Amino acid sequence: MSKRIFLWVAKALLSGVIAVAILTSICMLYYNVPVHYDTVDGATDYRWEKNKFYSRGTEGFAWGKTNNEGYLNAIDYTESTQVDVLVMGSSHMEAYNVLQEQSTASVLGSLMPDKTVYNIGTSGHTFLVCADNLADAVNKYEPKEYVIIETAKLGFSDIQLQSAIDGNVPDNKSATGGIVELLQKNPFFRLTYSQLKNFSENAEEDVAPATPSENTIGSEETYSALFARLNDIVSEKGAQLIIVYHPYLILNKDGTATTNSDKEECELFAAGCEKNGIIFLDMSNRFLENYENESILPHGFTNTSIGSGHLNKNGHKMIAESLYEIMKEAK
Amino acid sequence: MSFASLPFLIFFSVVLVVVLFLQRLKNTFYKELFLLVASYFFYGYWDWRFCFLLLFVTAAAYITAIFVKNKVALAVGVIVPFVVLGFFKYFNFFLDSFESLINRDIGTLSIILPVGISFYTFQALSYVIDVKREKIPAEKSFIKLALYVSFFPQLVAGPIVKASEFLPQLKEDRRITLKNLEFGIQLMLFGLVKKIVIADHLSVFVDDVFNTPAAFSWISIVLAVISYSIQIYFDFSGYSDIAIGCAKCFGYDFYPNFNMPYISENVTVFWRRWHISLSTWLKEYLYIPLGGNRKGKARQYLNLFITMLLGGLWHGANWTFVFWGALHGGALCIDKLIPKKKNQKTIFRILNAFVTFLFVSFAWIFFRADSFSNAWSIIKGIFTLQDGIIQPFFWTFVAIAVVCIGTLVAIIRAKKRNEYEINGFYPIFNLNSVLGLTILFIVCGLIIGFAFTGEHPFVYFQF
Repeated sequence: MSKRIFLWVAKALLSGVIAVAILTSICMLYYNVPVHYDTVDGATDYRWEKNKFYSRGTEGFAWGKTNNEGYLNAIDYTESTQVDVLVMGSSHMEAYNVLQEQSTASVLGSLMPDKTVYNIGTSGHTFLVCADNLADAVNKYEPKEYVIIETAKLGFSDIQLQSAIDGNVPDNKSATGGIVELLQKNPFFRLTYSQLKNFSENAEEDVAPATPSENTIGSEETYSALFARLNDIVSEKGAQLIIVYHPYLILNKDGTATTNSDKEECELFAAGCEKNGIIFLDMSNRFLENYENESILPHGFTNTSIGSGHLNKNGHKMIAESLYEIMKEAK
Repeated sequence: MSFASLPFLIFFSVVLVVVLFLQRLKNTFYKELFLLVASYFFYGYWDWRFCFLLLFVTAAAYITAIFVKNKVALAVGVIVPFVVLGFFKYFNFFLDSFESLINRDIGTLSIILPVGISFYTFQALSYVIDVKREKIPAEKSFIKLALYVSFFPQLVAGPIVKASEFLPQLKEDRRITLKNLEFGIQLMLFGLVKKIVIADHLSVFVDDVFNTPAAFSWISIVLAVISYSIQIYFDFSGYSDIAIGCAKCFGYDFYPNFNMPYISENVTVFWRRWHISLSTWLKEYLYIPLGGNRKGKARQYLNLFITMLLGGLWHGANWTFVFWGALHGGALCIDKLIPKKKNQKTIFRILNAFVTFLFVSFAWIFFRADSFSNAWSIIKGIFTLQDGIIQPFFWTFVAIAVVCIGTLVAIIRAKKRNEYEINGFYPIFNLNSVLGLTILFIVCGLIIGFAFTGEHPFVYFQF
């Protein structure tokens, strides 16, 4: 009896190893995400492994290679690289859900072939994190013409805004070192972790509504103080700061669409930008026009809910074209 | 506690271990008592108050079946499940409809629909009728009867197990064995793939389109309707597979609830392959008592139509379900009028199956839509070749490919066996071999990796 059990356990172990090997091979193409490593230059809190192949099929279908710094960028960066336009932002700008040539930075680069557009968009780097890292990023890359920060959210509380002014926004932490790093290097384990995380986050969303304090919008003064600081950092290098806002489109029963923008937040944000010499690019009208004329939504993919999630190739293209128009006008 | 959840995995494992221990005892009483308590815990996990309702329905069936020869007892035994079902499921619906009719606001009651009420009331009802028909004797053990009504694998969404199928199994020495576990666990995994990998992903697209049909192009709407046809099949048959597999682990057998319904060559065959336990129930306890085909052609068509109309209403308290039932009732009547040819050419069989699929999918529009206007928006969108968002949803094509491959495998199997009828089957592997175990682990890995991580309950939970 014990021999039978031992034999079965041995078979099960062997089968387990074979199964993990096969699943890993499948995930190499379906969900092969590099590991995040903390950065020392402070331009971003972390970045991917350098020169690493990646693929993603959970939201959109994309693949490519990280550059020599670990960013999803069409070009490599060396100290001699003269950056004209620096693109910062979250996973939307990082654009790991679309092919590299479809990202905002790449499309913008192709519209201005004589300019170097460098993208350091990184997942988790929402507006305030970018604001916090702006000085380090600008010091490192010294953009000659523009710095672009992307955001999908405009409403922040005074406490949140103040933390960005003071440079106290909590850092995104990478989970490297030891067994965790090793496990992350296996695409199947990485996918399993991601799935379990999504599952628990979705379960939490169902039970935990946002606390009221998080929804309180900051004052005009605090917004203005932050924008003044950001503009100082960028203009010191002779560049112009552009903040791109991309709202989500909500489909109505009658087939029309509206944005999820809050008018009050939008006006507060726009006024603060204008007052401090920052160009505020609100994509609302462009997105709505495109939807009305061509029935195209800027967010969502053919394997996820339409209109939600990350920017798709149409969203990136619209943003890049709008940025290009602004830059052309400014010239 | 949904089958596709961590609490269920823990619950199932604990129950399995305890039953494994209890089945060593000669007296099956403790095993049955424990399974009963576990089933009530499973049901009470949604809302403990529902347990009392379940107990009430069971007690009524138990007592009335013992005195079934008394006409009053029989009447009570039949009326109680209907009253319970009618009050909890249809009271507000009929009140709303009456209000619309008289154009007055009377107000509604705040009634929570107990999960699985349509299933266990039907089981209780069929038990009393079967005792009356002397198909089975009245069950003396309340524990056994209560376990039949509340056995957790089939409690909340079927299959509707008949007392004559389940109670005799409780009298046998049904056990957890390696063979049963091998079959049961694989069946449960098979069902999980159907549910959380395919059906739940499809639900994303289907929900998008049915929520705002005016925003989508006719191509997207057609794809969404096809997606829903596949979603509901994978969702419900997935649930049935898990239920059947779960019961099998404990040694109990439930009949298959689905048999490749979308290859049906006409609507009559479709209902022999779709939700088999319900269609059998409706035939035995509604269609035949109404007179079946024994009272002439016209009466047969009327009986068919009434059966399907009520079958539609059973699914949900909404006129869209009634209309869905009426569509199927009408189609069954028309189908009866058409003479059938045996051994048709393959091309005609394929064509018939395609037309049947088109009809069934069209009828699903009313099943899925939350109102007639919603259904009309979908239909209008298709037939006016509406412009709008084009969404070639990836998982729709995956699901179509899975259905096609599954059908092809079944056709090849039928050809090899020289069978005219094509039947579905469960691919069960030997878990004492490296190949079998490897496939099992890969399936587990694929479930984890490809599962839809959002919340999406089983479609039939609402019924």
